[in-house]
Amino acid sequence: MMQQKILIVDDAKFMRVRCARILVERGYSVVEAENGIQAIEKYQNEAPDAVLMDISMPEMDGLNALRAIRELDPAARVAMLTAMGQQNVVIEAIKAGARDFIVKPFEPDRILKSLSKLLM
Amino acid sequence: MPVALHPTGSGASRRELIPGRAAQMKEAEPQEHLVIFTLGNECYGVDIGDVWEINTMQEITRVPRAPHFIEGVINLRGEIVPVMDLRKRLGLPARPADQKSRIMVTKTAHNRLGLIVDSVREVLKLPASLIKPTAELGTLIDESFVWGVAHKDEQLIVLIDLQGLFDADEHEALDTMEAV
Amino acid sequence: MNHYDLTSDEAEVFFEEANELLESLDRDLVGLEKSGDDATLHRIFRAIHTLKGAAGSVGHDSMALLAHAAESLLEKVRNHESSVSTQMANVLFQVVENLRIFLDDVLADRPAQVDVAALIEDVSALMGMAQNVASDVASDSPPDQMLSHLPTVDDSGFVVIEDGLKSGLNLLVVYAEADMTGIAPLARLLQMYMHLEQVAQIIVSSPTGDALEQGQGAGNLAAVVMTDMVRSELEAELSNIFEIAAFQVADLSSAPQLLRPQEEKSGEVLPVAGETTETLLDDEQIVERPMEAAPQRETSPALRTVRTSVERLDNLMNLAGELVTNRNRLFNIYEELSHLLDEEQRTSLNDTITHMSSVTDQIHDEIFKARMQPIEFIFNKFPRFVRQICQEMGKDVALVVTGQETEVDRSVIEQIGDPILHLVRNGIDHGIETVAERLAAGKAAQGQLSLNARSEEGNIVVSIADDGRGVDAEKVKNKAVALGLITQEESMQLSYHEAIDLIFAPGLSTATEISGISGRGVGMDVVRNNVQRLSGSVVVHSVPGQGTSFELRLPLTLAIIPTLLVEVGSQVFALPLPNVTEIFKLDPATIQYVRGRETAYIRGGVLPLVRLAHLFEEDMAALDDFTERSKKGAEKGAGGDEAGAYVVSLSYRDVQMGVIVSRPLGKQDVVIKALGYPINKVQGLTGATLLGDGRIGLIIDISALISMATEANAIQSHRLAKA
Repeated sequence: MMQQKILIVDDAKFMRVRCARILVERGYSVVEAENGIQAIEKYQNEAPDAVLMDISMPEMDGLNALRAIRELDPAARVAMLTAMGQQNVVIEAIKAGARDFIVKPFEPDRILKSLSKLLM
Repeated sequence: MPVALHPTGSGASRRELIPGRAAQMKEAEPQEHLVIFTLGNECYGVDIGDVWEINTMQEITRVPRAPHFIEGVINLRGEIVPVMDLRKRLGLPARPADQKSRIMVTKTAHNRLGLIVDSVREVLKLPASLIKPTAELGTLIDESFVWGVAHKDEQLIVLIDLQGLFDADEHEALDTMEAV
Repeated sequence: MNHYDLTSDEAEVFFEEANELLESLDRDLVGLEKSGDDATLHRIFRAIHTLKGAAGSVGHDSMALLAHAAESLLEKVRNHESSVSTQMANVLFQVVENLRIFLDDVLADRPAQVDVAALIEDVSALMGMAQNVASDVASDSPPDQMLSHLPTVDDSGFVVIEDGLKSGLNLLVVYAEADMTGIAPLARLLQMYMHLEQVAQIIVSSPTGDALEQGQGAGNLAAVVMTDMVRSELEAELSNIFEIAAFQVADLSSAPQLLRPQEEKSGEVLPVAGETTETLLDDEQIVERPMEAAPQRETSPALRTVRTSVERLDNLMNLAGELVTNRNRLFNIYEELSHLLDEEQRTSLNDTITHMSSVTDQIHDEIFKARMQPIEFIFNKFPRFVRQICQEMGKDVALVVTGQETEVDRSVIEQIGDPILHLVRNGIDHGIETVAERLAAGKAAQGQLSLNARSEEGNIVVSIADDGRGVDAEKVKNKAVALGLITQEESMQLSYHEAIDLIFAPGLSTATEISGISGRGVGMDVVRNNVQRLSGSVVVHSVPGQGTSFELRLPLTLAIIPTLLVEVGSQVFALPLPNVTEIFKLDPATIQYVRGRETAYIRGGVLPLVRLAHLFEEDMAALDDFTERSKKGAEKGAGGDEAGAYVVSLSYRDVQMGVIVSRPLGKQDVVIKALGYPINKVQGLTGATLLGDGRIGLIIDISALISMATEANAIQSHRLAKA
């Protein structure tokens, strides 16, 4: 089976490192982006199978990046990462087409479960 | 436990490895959001996402027969939360708590867990370009839980992977259980 | 009785007949494979059909679906559209096996334990059609939790529904509860709503989509939709959403009238799944059963009894526990403040607190009662179990069950089944002799096994007694010596009771054979360990030639325990009250040293003493040091810290032991809280509890405490002997 490619978008390197480690151990291939603009760029160039994206980032935040990605690809599978549980932000993300949201800090299992549902 | 700092060969992550000022000229420098605390003379940083809250010292109920690095449990607004002496856990010499000591409450995969540290200095946004992989510098503590180091204002900051630390404890606990 | 619609009166008939049907199915399926005559086929078909009806009426949906699928397959065979293949026989055996598991679900009152979707697919595949059987049986009867949340549809909505039904769409109702511990529960419901919008036409929803977008709602969503999907398809579609605590989809295509506003519904009989329940359950019984006040015959049983989830009851229990803790805290505050108040204020505050306190107790009791279930849920499965194990082992045993009405908390129900099962198996396997042996010994040919439950001092006591050969103490001793558990000399000194108690030692009783009926057997040491972990005990009594009995003792609840709070230094410990026999002031002069250990002589008896603080220290040097100090203290007479000390005398099984504490604080029911990772497995502690003053009390696990004390004693004696 082809390796599935996951785009991790987070301005915090640690989050990306953590996420990447979890995913690579499970046989996913990983592409990283540091902000929304890079995320859109990488989404077009790398065509990942799913995206894990932080909500609050410099340059372009996750919500706007989510909207842009969904415009490029209405079937895009995106889960949002969030450190704060602000219901209205999360609701915005869901309205913009996010399929899941994961609260930081998260357990590896949570990410893996979310991905397997996203990729179904 | 090897920590794969850069599992992909993507250009972005390779660029981050190059120390220097080039990154500072960029407008949107990626930032690490860290809580900086001290143990002795060393400065440590943990991801702010891992920290639930920071409290001053409070009464700790000792729990007999707990691992030596567990100080006991505290009542955190109705929740019973174990407290770990991070010095003892990391193999540093013990030291009595003082005015500056803090209980940093973090979250493990199971429940909240308090960590006693000498002091909490600040919450810091650190440009990712300042972070170097561990191998380049020695530090007092077990390097398996260090994922990077950074210099800021002449001060060395050791970045700790807390979840990795908890995972290791858990595996150890499981191993002992299986051995029984 | 939470998961299934079945009273204890009905249960007996239900299980007896269902078991008979399953047994006949076992026999007939073997026959079907061999000959496949019409009479056998017909019996199989009827049995499956009857089980389907029964499953539907008690509300076990998976069981009904599986039976329905099998029934459809058998229908094909009966109409000669299919023939019996080995493959089909295998699948049918699997069906029966799973129906048996489902029956155990009903017996244990637990949710379905196995997922049979794949098996149902296998059955459908054999029928050579991809028809989705899931959608049609369940269609008539929405699951009960949903009934209370059915949204109502107005006339204009009904126009849409009728049009949709005419053009072949399905009328489905979705009910979902968000996991309120999640970070943004309403966002999950919005996610579900938006997903529904994509795949269905939403006729009505509560709350509305707009409300959800604005973050309004109470954590659940009920929606009536029209879609070309069948129930299971929509269910699969929606199951992708995280942090949904519960969700259900029901097909109301054939019963849209349920969505009419309430007053229009009366006068109609709610459809009940399983149109023919045969003799398994009389329709009259279902309707009449839960009623005490005059019922409206027409309303569904579900409207008169409310089902609630175990999680919800557990939450209520925890909240009630918080209330109890805060009530106690309030009393403390009142005492601290009372000198600041005038007489009138004091009286009024005191009255209020007293009233609140009594209400708190009542709430606590009511919730506790709601969690209580008769132990017959466990006992009921034994007649079948005993019959089958006797068949396996070629024995003849009559089972006598008494005290099955004894009620215990569901936390105990969940835990007590396995130990009883192992002891019953043990009794038949090792206790009761073969018929020939019995006759030779002058006993009745048929052995007897009695199973009794009673409650006693906050415990449930279950005894399992056989009239078999008794335990052969010599055999046990020899084996213990062979295993190196005791020496030959030690074995000579053991009393009969001490000797037979060795069967609980690790490795001594070997696991009984793996049985097809109830999973793997375990040794007696595992049984005892598991029971002790639950603050219970198991003891054995035996008379050679006459029989053996086991007595299993567990607290009535595992969630809240009555304790004696004591202070040791500045630390508070909670000692389970059932183990506390006596409290007395320690007179240092009465302390004697027996083999280097402190011992009190009270009323002519000897009570070994332990000190909590020191017992918990693994460092034996500290213990030595302590012993030295207290010896000196005792020599000097009035030792400093001994002045205010008390002894709490504890009993556990046959062991008596005194714990030295600074002072007793009083009795209190405490809610057990976990200590949390990484100290959740600390030996000697059951957990912790929050006290009225905000301090934390550690709850002592008496059985572990005593074995720790015994260990420490052994090491201590060993050291003294060497010295």
